[in-house]
Amino acid sequence: MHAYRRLAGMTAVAIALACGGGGEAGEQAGAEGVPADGDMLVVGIGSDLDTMFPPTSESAGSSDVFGNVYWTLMRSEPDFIHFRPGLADSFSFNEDSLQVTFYIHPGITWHDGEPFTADDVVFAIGVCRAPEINYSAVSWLDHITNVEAVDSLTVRFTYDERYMYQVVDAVVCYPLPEHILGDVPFAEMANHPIAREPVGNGPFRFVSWSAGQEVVLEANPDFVLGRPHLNRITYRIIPDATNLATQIQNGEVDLFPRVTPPSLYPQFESDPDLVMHSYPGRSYTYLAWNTQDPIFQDKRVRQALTLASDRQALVDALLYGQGQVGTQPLISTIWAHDPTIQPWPFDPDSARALLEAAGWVDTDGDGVREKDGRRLSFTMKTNNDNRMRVDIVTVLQQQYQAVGAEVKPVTLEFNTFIEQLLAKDFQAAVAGWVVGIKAELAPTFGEGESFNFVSADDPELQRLLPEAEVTRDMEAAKALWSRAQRIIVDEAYYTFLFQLNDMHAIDSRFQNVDMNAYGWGFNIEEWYVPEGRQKYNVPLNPAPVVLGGDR
Amino acid sequence: MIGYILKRTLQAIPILLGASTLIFFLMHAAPGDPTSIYIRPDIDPIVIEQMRKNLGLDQPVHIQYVRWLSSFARGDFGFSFSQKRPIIDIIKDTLPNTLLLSSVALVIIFALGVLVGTIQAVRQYSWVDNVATVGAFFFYSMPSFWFGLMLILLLSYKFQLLPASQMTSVNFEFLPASDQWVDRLKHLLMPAMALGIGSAASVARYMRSGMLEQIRQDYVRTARAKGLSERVVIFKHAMRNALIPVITLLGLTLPFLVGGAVLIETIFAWPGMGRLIVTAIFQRDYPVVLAIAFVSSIMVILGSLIADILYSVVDPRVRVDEGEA
Repeated sequence: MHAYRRLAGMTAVAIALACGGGGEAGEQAGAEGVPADGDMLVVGIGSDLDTMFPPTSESAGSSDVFGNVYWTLMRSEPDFIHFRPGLADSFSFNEDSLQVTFYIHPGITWHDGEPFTADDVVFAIGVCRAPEINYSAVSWLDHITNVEAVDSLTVRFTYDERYMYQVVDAVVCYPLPEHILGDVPFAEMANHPIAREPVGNGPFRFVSWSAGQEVVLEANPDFVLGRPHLNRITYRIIPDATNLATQIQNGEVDLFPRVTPPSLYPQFESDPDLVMHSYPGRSYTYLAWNTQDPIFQDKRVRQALTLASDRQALVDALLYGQGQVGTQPLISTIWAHDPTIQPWPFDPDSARALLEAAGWVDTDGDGVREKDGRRLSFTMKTNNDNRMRVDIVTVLQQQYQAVGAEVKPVTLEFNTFIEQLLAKDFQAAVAGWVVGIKAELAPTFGEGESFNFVSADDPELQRLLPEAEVTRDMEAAKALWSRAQRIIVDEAYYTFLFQLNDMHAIDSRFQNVDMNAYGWGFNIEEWYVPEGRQKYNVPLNPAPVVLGGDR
Repeated sequence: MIGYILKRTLQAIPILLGASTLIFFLMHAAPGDPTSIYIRPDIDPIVIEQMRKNLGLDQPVHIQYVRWLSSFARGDFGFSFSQKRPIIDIIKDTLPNTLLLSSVALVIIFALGVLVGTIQAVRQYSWVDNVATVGAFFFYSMPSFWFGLMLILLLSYKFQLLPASQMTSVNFEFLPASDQWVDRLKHLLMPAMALGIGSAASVARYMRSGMLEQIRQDYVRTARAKGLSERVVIFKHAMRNALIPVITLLGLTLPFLVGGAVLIETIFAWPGMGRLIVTAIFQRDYPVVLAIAFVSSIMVILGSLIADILYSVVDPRVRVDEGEA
């Protein structure tokens, strides 16, 4: 185990730190054999990288790759509020917690041999802030008023206020090599050779990128925090899931990250050469109700249809058990998740009673309820490129028929679907959110917000959302988030369908693999293949990386 | 001949301009734009507005069109919104791959189609002809993507004879030079077969009927009466005339190969233009779609021109320079 893994995790929450709080580092998975250097990991990824220049990248798949070439000052633990060492060994808050100082590990160099210093951190923050860069997380830097290099190995961030995510915001921007980019205008950085031939500072070095074909990284033998065990990682771009499934089963590919469709899970699980990793992922699927629609203005209708939704059946049938019934918008990967909130039960009898209490009765015996001359018949929209969501609509159509509601499925091209959602041009819609690191509900449930397409307007909820976001005390904030979520659940703006597991299949020869909510590559620099089981003989290139040149 | 080529080239300019303009406005009429992928609750709408401004998407469509056209006319295809690099670099990466795949598929189509069609005609109503007829209809009616998947399951998964995707193996750079050629060929075989087999079946049908028509002609009977061997009669006399309808197919097949490659390139992870345009359409990467549409249009026009020129080669009665093609 490398030295940096022995250090305890550090909490990012100022208040907890003041009380001497801390956390444990990520748990290691069991391993067999003696750790050995060598071999190659072949990863099958669905799409090509957009860029390897971190500030302009918007693809999670790209950051999976360049996240091994570039490291951040601190690296997140799976709960996203505790940190493990990265390029910095540790950090500290000053007395009023308005400054955070990071202490960089001595001896780290860029892959071209130049030393990595605090100036590179300061430089990167300037790049991320430049309007020409279009850095999508630029608003995370809003509270940072100053970044200064105290000395070559110490960098200090100053904030305009104390808040919960001071460290998170400080480490979001990857340090960049000032000696290469210092003279390049911001507008030209995205097109600079470094965007496709990165010169990083992490455990793996860039070897090659053949567009649409593959990206190759190799172990950085000079990494002062410890050379990774694997000699190479080759990311093969394979868009077709059937082909990728074939390749992992015949051994051409070693890792199939984010296995989709879930129907592949039992197939891979029964393969003795593969190991499956499955854990709650960072996204959830929901059924949104347009509360401005005459049918769904009455929350009893929304509640009744939630009661009529057999969500466990969806998890069992569509996810092959690899998921959890949804309960709330702040899912289990976020610190503000409230495990005491129970999901609405599947109770068709109560659903029928609630609909009748709301005045919806089947008077003509056609199986569909009516009220004031209007039938309980509505459209349910989703995007046609997501097979699972189309299946959900079909299953719900059957389940709602049993309580006297008629669903008319409408499937749309993705951009059209999003446009109609944002325009509130829908009655019911099956969609999903990928949840970020921070607890935030205002964008989706705050009055007047563009993503509040369900038109959530409960007065208490609207008061709680901004209050919870600015509350610094973690326990107090948790209580506020819990109350807000209980209102959202009771109002049934959404029927929370499920939280899908992240599933990854990997060849059984790889040891010490720890995958978790942080991502499948959480400790990739510690993976190894015991000598007797190594498959590829790929030597390391001892020369440093030369930008735009041959090594 | 040169005059004819020049004339056709000049005629192509308004066609290319019209096609590109149509695609430009159709793309912009579709919902969403390249910043749609950024529409998420955790991204500030102000950031998205800044991106739209930086990309020039905040301008009216007609202004965007004029800007695009003026840079296009100067040979500047622009910058990819999604790949964040010059489009000319992307085309340099992908076009050779598509041409390689299409060329091999083309060889399979015509070599196999002409050979099978000729044998069928010569052995009309024999068991060889019957089997080939059934086979031709089977492959012709089979979608290429399905055939591709079946090939993967059979040749890659079941028998592990050929690699399932990509242009080279993961350890390509460590192979000796001679093995590198073999490796490339092995990766090319399945996608080229999947792309070409349906069209080869079609060519075989045309070839069979063309050849049957020719071998009943008086000049063939005369050739036989002169004592020429059957091989010379078939391959030197009859085949040349039987090829004329097949050459018509050649012109029509070139654009089909680019279109058909969309699915095949996706299934076999072949980094060509077909896969690129699909991704670009979904990501609303307007400049990439326009550039690829432009290159594809050129290939269509070029295919048609090649077919016309080949007519004159196989049929001296056709004189392209007199505009009689």
